[in-house]
Amino acid sequence: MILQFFEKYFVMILTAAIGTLGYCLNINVKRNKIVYGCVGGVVSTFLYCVCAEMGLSPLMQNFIPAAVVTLYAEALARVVKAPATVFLIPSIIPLVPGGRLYYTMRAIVDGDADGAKVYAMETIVIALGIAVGIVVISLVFYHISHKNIQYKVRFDAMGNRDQAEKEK
Amino acid sequence: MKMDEEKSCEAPSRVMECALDMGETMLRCGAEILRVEDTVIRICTAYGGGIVDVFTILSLIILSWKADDGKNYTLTRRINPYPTDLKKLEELNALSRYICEKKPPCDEIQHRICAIMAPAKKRIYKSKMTGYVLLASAFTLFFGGSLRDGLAAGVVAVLMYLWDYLFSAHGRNRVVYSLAISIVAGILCILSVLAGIGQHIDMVMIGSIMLLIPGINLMNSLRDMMCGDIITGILRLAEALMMAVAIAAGFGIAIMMLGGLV
Repeated sequence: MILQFFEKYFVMILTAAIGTLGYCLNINVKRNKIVYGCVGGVVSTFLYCVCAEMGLSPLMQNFIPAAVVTLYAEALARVVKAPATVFLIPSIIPLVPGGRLYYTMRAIVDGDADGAKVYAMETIVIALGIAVGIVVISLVFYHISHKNIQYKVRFDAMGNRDQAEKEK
Repeated sequence: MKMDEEKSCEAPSRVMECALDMGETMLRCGAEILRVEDTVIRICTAYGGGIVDVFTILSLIILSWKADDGKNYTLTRRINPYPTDLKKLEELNALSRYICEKKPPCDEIQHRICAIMAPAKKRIYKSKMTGYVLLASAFTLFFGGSLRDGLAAGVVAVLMYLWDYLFSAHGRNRVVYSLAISIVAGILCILSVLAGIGQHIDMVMIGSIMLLIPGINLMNSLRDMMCGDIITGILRLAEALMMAVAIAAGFGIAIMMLGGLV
């Protein structure tokens, strides 16, 4: 079973790793951080394949890998002390629906309205799955790490001054 | 007392300039709005108390500061588009940590920013070209192309890199630029198949589409919207969607022009 799985998806995972490496070079990620991006790309592809094998819906197929990879990137950002984007963007790339976008366009060019509808729907669903996956996990981290941004300083300071004057 | 002297030797306007330089460079390299605003506020408060207000959207930073001397200062800065560069972003992030910890003089900060953002010589970068080739070839295979398709996508990627090198999109309309480069890429893909390098036109094209997809814009727009910066989120989302449509249209035009030959 596991052997069969790897036989079926080995090429995908390998090429995802290479493609992620290429993307890292393309957006100029620092050399010593490229390997983290590649690991993220492999993880997301692997989870995508697992979800596809389990027969989950296209939304979940992309939601689960995106969420896991976001968790990975945000955790790594706190360990390695770099912006989470550096790890997140390369990791997500294998999930991006480039193929569906092409087929949508192709169907439109060929005048195949039904095909265009189906492919456009799939593109949007995949993009939505990735988006929700990223947002859900990032929100948690956002609320953990940005508790003490200063918005109320102004009125607090005025209040303190008034109090000090009263005490005088 | 000595501390006070040290602190006050930097005029507020100088500090604000430095803070804005940091904010601008970070935004241009592809940082989220929250990170930019946070950096600017932290730098200003590191060099003196007072009340700092920052408003940032994709193309503008407004910084208003009521400094310790009781005066109000305001600076605005227009931000021009710039290709994403995560290496620079990372270095800037490290620099902002350093600034808030050590509070170096403003001249030093500006020197360091200039060193990071120094305009690289316009030349052909082997690493970037390798990146293009690896990305296009790998994703051609990823979506089920044959090895020959991968080779064709690699050749197309090299040519696209050269096109990027000749007509790079600095400061121009990125949507129109994506349309132009997509048309060129589409024609190159079709020619590569006609020349007998590639076998499946679909796969070669998907590989080169992956080179152009505005993934970073989309990601940043999500992160911005999530943090409450709806305006910038929408701006980035609109740009990303328009770029996606432009890419699809560009390849579509190429197919319409030469599609009959394949």
